[in-house]
Amino acid sequence: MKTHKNGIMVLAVMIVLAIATGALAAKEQYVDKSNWETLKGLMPDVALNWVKSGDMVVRYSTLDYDPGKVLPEWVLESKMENIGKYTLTENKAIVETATGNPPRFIKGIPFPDVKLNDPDGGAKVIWNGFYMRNANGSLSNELEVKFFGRKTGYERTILCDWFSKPFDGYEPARSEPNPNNFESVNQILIKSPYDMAGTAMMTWKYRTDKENMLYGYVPAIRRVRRLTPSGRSDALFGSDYAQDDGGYVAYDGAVNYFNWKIIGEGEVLGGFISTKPTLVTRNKAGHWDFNFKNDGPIQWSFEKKREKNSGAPWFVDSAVWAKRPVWIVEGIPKDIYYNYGRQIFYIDKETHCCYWKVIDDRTGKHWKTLWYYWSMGQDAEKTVSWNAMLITTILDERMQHATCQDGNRRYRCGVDLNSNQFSLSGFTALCK
Amino acid sequence: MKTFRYWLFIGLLITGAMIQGKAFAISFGDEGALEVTGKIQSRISLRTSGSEGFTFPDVAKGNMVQQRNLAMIELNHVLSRQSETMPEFKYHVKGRFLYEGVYDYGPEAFRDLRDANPDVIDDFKHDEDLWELYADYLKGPWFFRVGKQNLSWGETDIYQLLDRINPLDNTFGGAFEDLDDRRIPIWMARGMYNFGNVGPISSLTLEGFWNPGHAGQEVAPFAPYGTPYAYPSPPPTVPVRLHEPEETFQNSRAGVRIQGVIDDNFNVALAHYQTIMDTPSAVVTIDPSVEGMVAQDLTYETVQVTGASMNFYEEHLNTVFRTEVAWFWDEPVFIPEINAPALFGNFVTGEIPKTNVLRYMVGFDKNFWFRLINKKSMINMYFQYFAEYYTSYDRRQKVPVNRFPAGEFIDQERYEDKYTLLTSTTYMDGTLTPQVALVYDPEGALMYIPSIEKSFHPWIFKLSYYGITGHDDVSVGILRDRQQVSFQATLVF
Repeated sequence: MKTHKNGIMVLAVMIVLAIATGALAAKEQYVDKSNWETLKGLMPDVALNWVKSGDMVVRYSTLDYDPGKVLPEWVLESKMENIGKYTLTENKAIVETATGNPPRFIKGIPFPDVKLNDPDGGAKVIWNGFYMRNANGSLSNELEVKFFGRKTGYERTILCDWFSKPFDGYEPARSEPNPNNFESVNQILIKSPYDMAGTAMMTWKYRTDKENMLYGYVPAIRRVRRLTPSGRSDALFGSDYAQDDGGYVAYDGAVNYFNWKIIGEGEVLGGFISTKPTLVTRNKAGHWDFNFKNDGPIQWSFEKKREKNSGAPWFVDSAVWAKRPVWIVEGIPKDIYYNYGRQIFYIDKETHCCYWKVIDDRTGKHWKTLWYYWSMGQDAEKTVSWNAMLITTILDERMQHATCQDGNRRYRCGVDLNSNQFSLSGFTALCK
Repeated sequence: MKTFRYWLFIGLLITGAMIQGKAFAISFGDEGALEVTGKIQSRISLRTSGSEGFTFPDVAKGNMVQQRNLAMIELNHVLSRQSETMPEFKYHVKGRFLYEGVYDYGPEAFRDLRDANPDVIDDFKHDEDLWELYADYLKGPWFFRVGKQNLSWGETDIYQLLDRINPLDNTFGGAFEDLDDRRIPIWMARGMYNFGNVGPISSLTLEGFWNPGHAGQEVAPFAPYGTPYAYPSPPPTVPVRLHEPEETFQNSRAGVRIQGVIDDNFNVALAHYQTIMDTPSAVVTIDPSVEGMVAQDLTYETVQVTGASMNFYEEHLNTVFRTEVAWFWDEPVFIPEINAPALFGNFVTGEIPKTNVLRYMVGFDKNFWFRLINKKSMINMYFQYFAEYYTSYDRRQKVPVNRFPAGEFIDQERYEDKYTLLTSTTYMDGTLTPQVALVYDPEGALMYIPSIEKSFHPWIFKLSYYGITGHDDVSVGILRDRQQVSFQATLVF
């Protein structure tokens, strides 16, 4: 009888251990070239090839929270309130479904009910991404733009300040005067190295189908100068990014510059900085700071000792990759001189944030891949949520050269930036 | 002192190399990052043409004419950032350290020049200066900047119309140097107020500045005879006396500008200001206290400028058009019979004649893809047409530069024009920049400056050629014997 009891005890312990081990295995595993098949169908093929070749090791995990619920409250509310409320014109401008008029203000995201077979579905997914960035309020970030080469490893860093202010989507902006009908405005100012310091750019984006207005400040001529919007697919500051490779959906131009189409849906791995939400705290000025230190150190692959020609230097090894539901959207530029051809976007159905963008050249051959590492922020009381596109990376597959934008130094949401900062005089005042 | 400067520069170079191109940042609380950046630069220029005419000293082809060592250290500190409720305070400090080595270890002709005139040349060849120092205050529509600073108005590059607020240092490299590198910061109070949207105009902004004239005016330095970038002239036969402006309120630099955006496309500005001419006006003076009783007096005259500028984007052509017009009220001109009657046997002191001058520019900026030569970056092209017109023209008007060999002054035409073109692109992830700049005077002179810049962070290397062809009595052609090749190494952090 005693033997029988001992046997039951051993069996019970073994079952508990097996469950625990299984749970751990399901919770996190590292996928590399030895088991890359595990990720088939969960990454764009070009990215899967990086794992297969040994360039990338994926920390495949699940998140301890639902990112679709760690969103600003007005976004969550808009998912119910805005169903069927808005539609698109022929030029892909947003109008009220009931009246056909442009809305005075849109709370949260405009199209919570995107359908796979909606011919305007692609454009709506992109609009949602624009409004998702707006919903995070004015941003004041310090960005490190890092350059990498396969052979050269880490090359250099450009340090910038980024400021953006939404006039739509962000509930506290509802009462903000908006006589120019802006959707959002933004500024980027280079702080170092010295040869580039002082270079600045300002963009005015409109709520209509009007062309964006661009201004640049060039220290060499010491004045604000109008820039042509035609350069939006031109290399930005010599990097692998073009101006349009930005924002929460990896596209930062006007929606009507492209033909958009949803070409599928499914699950892909999305990059996150941690399995937990990042702690956000209110600073003395009342703005919300992301405290990335609580997420542990960010480990770049270039920082670890590598054997010669093994692995690539441009990955964040400490990031986690979790399955997320996505729309797969195709974007084709209308401008025959645009430098990119077809682009495929993988955009979260619930958070409206992009995880991957695969870029072809104008002849249809693969050229670049862009991916994100997100940080979903929440305060200690879990009552306030913000979202940060903490790190984005773009890889030029032909040149084997990459550029990363890293917002780890300062990422601040819900900032009450003054509109005057984004006027011509305000822009001039920011410059040298 | 010479040794000290040498070691100071070497020390800066070593320090720069040790910090490996990284900017310093020291954080103070939530905002106040204090950042230090800078550059250490060395440039050598060799003449590719032998001296001709009145150019002095006589420098043979292949000889060094410039060995400039420059360090700029900049400090920026944001004390508080602007928000809806908080003003922004920040300050900026820049130090400049310059040492021109050509007078110490250059060709014998330059060393002799220094030996003959040590005070002037020693002062000219080095500089340790608090180059910029200003504080900013921003609050809502208000902006103030007070301190030693640069201010540039208008739309033009290369040649200045409305952009004549700061004096230019033409001893720094003359026409062979970027315009901005020649600007000399001056003590100035500057303010802006943004009215916002008024009728069809958005971002309507009123701006004003004042550089007090009664507290020591900074003027454009005059290139001493014999220095590499002085205009060719025969050696002065009478004493030359340089007079800086009197320290009076009337000699202030000051102005206002109003600008805005019309119809969300047309950036328009109207401006009026008073400045001080960069080139001093010459008169021949009869002065019994001077040996020979004759002297040449050079004075810096004030001038008032009224003008307007505009730019707009034309979407069908994918082009930004720029234009600027400026009216110079009573600008000093040179009429030898009036400025120097003694040259014509009339032994009385000369006067400075003045006339109104109209100057304007029409230009465009065009970025385009030319994938045959660059698949990743666009080609940038900036074209400008400049013209000037003397409204009350006197046929005796001259340019105060002597024609070789007889020494007569060069004619000043009533209407003159020039074309400029700058084209560039980038390769190798922005680290390789080829560029070509052209200045063409239809009267028969062309300046062409091909250059290539490559950076190996934190080092930047630049090779430029400055070629000039055409008549030696036409604008840029006057310097046609100064053609040079320059190599520049810069360490940035």
